Amino acid sequence: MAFWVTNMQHNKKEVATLALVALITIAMASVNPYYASLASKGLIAGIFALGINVIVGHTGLLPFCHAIFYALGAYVVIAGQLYWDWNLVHAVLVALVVVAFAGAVVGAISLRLGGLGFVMATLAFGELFHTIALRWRSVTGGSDGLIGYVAPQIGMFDLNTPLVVFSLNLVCLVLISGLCLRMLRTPFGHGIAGVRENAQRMEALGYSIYGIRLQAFIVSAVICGCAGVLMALTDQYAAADMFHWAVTGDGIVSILLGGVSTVTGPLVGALLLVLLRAFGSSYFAYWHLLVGVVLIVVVLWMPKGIVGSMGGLLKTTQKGV
Amino acid sequence: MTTLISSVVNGLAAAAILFFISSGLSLVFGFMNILNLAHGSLFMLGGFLMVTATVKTGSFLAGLGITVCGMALIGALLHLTLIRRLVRATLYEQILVTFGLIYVISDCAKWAWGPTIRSVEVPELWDGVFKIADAYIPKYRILLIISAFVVVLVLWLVLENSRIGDRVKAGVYNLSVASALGINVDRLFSVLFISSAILAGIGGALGAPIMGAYLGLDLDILISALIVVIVGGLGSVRGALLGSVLLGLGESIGKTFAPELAALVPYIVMLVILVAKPDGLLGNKYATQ
Repeated sequence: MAFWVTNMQHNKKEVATLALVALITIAMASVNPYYASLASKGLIAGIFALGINVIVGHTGLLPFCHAIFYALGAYVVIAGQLYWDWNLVHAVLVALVVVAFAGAVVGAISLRLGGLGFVMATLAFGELFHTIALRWRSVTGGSDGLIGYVAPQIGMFDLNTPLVVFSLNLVCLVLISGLCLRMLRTPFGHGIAGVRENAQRMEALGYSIYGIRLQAFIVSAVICGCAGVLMALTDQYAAADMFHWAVTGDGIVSILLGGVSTVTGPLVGALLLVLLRAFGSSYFAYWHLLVGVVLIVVVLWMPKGIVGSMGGLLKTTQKGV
Repeated sequence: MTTLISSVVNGLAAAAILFFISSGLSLVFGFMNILNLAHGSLFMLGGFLMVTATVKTGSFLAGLGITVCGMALIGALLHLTLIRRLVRATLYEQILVTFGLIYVISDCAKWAWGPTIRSVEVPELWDGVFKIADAYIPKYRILLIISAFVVVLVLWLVLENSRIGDRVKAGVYNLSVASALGINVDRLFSVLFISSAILAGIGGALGAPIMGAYLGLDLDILISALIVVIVGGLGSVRGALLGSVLLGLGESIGKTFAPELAALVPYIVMLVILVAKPDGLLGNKYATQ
């Protein structure tokens, strides 16, 4: 449980998981370009799940809105370059600022509510953005999406080759995981853990629960925004479907498969889910059934999770928190 | 005027379908304290069962009967295997398990009925239109409104004016005390859950001639049902009724006069209600605590 305590052994476990994910994806990427882009998708899904887990695992709330930040990141990067001729770096920076702002707005309103209210408010926000994206076809391209974007060449790196994009994704994944692990050892990270473990006591100590949760929410939104930006560069495409709440649902399933109370566990869960989808759907049309059964079994009968431990979420969150 | 009449009738028909789905969702949350995200999946199953049953029997009424029996069976099975384990679970466990159930039911439906959209023919007696003022109103919409009225009446009689209703309420106020008093809470809850499954199934079956039955209907209708119960008040049948009428009428009138903005209004209303009045317009205070 107490993973935020500076514990060398625990950190070793996190680093080992990260190395495992890196090795598997590098092995995949070295086979052929198709596997390289599949590995990219796994890494991006991992960053997305890791971002959501800042809220799920580290504050104990269940959000259904993170597809907003993922899709916004992708849209701003592509639209900025396609419509306004920004260069890549500017587009990425603007995308992250937009995502942080959206995270602040959605978080500021949703975090006023606890438990069920929070779930419902985040769901409403997600579907609000989804509907806007579907209807405002002149800007978003609706369900067809924005097409015709070609990633630029930076120095000797051509972002149109799967291997280069894969390397970019891998570097980003390692950087973000490292920053996340580091963040949890800062006073802010301890604050997040404190609010999750005993909100009343933290309040009595003079901390603002709302403030800490809001900061965590914005961090989590920005990480999911990064995943969206990387997805835009990998697929060179952004569509309204990226706003769908099932996208967030996939992230939450990855977290549960990988283990809530770890930083790198969700990476494994996400990679597993992406691989299942890619291979499962070609051999077995009903792979969603498997995911559903696994989810039910894990929650009801295996509270420790498959890879790590999901006990952190289920034990510390009382009904209607 | 003509457009107003037809959009009001269409809105009320939509409200009828919304009431079928949201009343069950609200009952299960209000009385059993379980948030069943797979409730939309039960609605979709009802639609699919209706498609098969009407094709096999050739009769709308027989099809509806078979659908009701089928849904009762499915409800009993789900309660026995999963739902009863959720009575004492945390909210998040309930959300995650029923979210998994969405996946399972969706793939089972895909296996049984395939990915194409199916429809049901309107029964002959109710085919055609009524002429009210200058507006042509499909007879089937009137049938929908009448059947929802009947269900409202039945629910009101059972829950507010019978011993069953009292027992159910005792179970909600205090599970342990109700059991100690000799009320078989487990059986009571199984009846409640089966009723909610039947209600959702009837909604899907009666909705099938209008909206069809297709994969993805589960998530579409779930979102609408959640909006209805949040706006009306989770856990109260009156709230589900008010929410259904507001959303049904609002969407239908909105679509006629401001089609682009109308789609956004439900979500904005839901957010405003959540922030300003978290228990909904007619919320059951004790149910949402």
